[in-house]
Amino acid sequence: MQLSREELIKAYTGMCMIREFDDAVHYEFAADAMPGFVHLYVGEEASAMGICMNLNEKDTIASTHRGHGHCIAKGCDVTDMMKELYGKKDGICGGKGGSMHIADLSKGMLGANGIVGGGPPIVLGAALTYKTKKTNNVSVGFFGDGASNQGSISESMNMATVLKLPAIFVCEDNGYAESTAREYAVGGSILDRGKAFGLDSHEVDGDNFFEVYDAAKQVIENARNGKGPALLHIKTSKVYGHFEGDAISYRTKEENERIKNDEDPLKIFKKKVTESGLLELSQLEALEEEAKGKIKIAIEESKKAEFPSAKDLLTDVYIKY
Amino acid sequence: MSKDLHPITMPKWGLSMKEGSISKWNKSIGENIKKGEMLLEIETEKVVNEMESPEDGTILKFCAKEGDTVPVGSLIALYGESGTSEEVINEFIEKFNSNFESELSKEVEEEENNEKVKIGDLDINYIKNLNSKDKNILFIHGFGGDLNNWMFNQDDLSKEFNTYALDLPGHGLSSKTIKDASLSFLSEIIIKFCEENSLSDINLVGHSFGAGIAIKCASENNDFVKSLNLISPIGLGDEIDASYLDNFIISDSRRDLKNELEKLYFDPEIINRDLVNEILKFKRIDGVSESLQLIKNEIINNEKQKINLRNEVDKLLIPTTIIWGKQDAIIPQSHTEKINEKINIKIIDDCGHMAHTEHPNEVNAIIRNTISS
Amino acid sequence: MSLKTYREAINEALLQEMKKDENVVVIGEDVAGGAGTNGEQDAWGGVLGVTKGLLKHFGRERVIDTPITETAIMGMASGAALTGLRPVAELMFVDFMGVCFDQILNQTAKFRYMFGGKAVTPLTIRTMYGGGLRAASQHSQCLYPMFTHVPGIKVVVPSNPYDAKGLLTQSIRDNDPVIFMEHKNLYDLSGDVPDESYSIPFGEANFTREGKDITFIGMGQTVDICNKVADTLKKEGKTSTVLDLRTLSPLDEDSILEASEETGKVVIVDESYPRCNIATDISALICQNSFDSLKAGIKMVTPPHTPVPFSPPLEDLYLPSEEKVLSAAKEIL
Repeated sequence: MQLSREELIKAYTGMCMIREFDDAVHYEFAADAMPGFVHLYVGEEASAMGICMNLNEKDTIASTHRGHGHCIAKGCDVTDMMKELYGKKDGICGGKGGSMHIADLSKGMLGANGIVGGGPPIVLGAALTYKTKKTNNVSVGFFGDGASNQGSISESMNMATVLKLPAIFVCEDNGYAESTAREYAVGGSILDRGKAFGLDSHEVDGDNFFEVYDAAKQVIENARNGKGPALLHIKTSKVYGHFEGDAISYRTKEENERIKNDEDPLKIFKKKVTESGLLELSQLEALEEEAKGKIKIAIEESKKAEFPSAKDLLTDVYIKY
Repeated sequence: MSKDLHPITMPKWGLSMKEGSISKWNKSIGENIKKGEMLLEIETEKVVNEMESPEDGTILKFCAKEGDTVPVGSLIALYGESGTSEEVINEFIEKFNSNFESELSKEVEEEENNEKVKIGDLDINYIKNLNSKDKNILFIHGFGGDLNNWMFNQDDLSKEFNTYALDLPGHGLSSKTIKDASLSFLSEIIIKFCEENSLSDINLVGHSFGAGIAIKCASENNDFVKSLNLISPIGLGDEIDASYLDNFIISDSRRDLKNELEKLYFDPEIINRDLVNEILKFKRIDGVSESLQLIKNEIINNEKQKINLRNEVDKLLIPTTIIWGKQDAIIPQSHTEKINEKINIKIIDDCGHMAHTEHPNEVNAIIRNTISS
Repeated sequence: MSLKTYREAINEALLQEMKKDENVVVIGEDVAGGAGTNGEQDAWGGVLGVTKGLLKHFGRERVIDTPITETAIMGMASGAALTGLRPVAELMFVDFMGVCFDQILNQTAKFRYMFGGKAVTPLTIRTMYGGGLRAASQHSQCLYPMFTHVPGIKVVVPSNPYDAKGLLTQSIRDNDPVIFMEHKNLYDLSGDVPDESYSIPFGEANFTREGKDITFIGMGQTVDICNKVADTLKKEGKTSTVLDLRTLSPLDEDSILEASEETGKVVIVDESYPRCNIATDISALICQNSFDSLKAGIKMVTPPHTPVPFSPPLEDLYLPSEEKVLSAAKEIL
């Protein structure tokens, strides 16, 4: 653990923000105040923050349908994100993207993705740009255990090795692809797949921010130094179901309890830093309150904001028509 | 072959013309025709134009009807003395056609006559038509034009003169990127071009901006330039349709450009799609827009003409004619007012900014007159 | 200006744009060829030699041979375009879109709209299409309607060398994703092509013939068929207007209506499968906008609704031909 106080505060602030954002969406959605469908990241916060704390603003990530956490960790504005979820005109994508397509290229966020396995091929391209232009940036592609079975992931890992690209593949394995268990759907092992394609591959405890942070630090540094791509297989779990409205009947009550109580990355972080005396409990609680307050404002502002107008329907298909 | 039996053949307007279609006969069989009268209307790939009667006579037979497309040089009608017998006419046609066919078969894919000469670091493209005549003509086109603008003039005038037509830098098939678009730079190019071709003197025919270059050449090379024919020249007044130049530069679609080109002519029907296409092909080439912009900036400031050549024109001692379309919408014909009396002024009615393409026969006659005076 | 083939015109556009802009990279299978071998480098220059010679100018850093991995190629090219390169990715045969369409359909094509107008994706996908080489059902299709169906991508179908160079230059310079479709049968067609760089704007159809009696509308290879039929009819005293669409997205609707109204009799020649293809689309456009100008029913010359057959006599029967177009024309003349 070599993190400074500021970095620890940044990490916990980010995790709280993700937690508060998605908890709030959970309630708003249940209250029928939000259109579309949403996939929540609660329980996986350590992964997004552990990875993204190792990235600078010019590094890029491509995310998944469960992308709010990645967006926040990469620096997207929570109010603009929330407005987007409500389909408002000054949402982060002008209300044209919604929950599954949040992107902010100025922050290096190349887009959440509605297609399972859609992001990693795009990450190859960003990595190719860095390699061609000889910047020392990296690009990170998140995907889930479900996506690990898509050909696009295998193709991307192979291409990254062939062209020795600064690309990091992060498999956030929360145990379920929709309602189907990893044990059923994944033949062999995700880690071995990475190794088979020649990637520097590691399995990581995704509930523990510090483990993720350390593992990411190493592979990202290597990639920046031209040592090629890597795979992090992050074992994690999500509190809510696949999408909002999922009764999660495929999980047992005991499992749900375990996820909430024993595998909560915020709780684990809090315990570690207070026990080791790095941060005070009161400080952490203040950060939680701060995040809560910001999200409350984000929701209030989003509800008040304007919807796009009819003319917005036809713009932004092409740059030049 | 009867002395009083003459063929009318499909004319060749410009080097690329291979065939033409007859859109309209203005005369019928047995009708008398007078030299210079409009005989028929011909449509080529690029333009529609009228052909005039070469001599007096009577139309005896049509060999091509309206709507027919025939190769350049083929027989389209006969004229001569009325009452010539059918037998004589048929014999003439048979003979003409067998000669023409053997000519055609000899003429294996005529090579394009474009040539290039290097002046400084610029390639200058030109076409020459030399017939060992005493006098030389050089045609200088205007802003956005090229040597094909003289398609109705160069071939005709080549009967009596050695003729040259060039593409100005930034135009046609010459180098597209220019750094200097000033009249003095371009007039130097013209003089060097003549030197490269070992010409001891030259008669200049210039159009619009090209006429400005011609004036500059003449005023700085007294002995060398023998006469000037200036068609709608720049430099004689303030007014100019500046928007035409701007829009010409930015128009990148057929429709937009056609709208602009129509301003050049009294009769916009003269413009067809192929003509617009040729200009678009030129304008699309990298560097052209920038070069045209540079030239435009030389010509125009604040919507007005920047260059004043009245002084130079007043001092000219060589035969000079200014030719202007009465309905010129780009530079008004009123600029001919208060011009030095020694200078000949010819105003052509039913004519816009492009007198040499819109009324070639009249313009060619004027040019002949100027040079021989 | 000199005589160049369609293949040379495309190669020259790539060469000139790569020289002009170091962000232009070429990505694809065997675009150089010989990667990792001890033998000749630039062994192929693309499966039909279109990118041959680029390697010696730009090296393997900018002429990037990939594994056979179309999804990764298309994804990589999209991502590279999104982050500052100007890639030209090659999809060897358009038929292979089946294994990578997600990256085109759901990713590249949607970025700009989905991200609220903030994404710029200057991607060109070059691909080979069309029948006539006896390449059978999986290497001969004419799939441009699948791309025109998708908003967010531009679809270019050059019919001759001049257009190929100018439209490819425009594709590379364009800031939107473009599918540039090369008909295999046209690679050896020659024509006058300026040596200088030039670009032809999208959405500007080209009139290759003008006439009064009948209008032919074609795209890609079928333009040549239309021109030949027009020339045949001319000898019989009938003049034709021929319109080359050049780009299918954006579509030059004004010129289509102009060409159709010029004669009131329209034959559309399209090599793609007949259901929901360009011919049906254009017919609908004409009927909706200038029905009164029509003097006869619109004729469509297309293949039958079958896969492309292998056996030469069958493929010849399958493809639109001069004979078929001429007889369709004569039915309404």
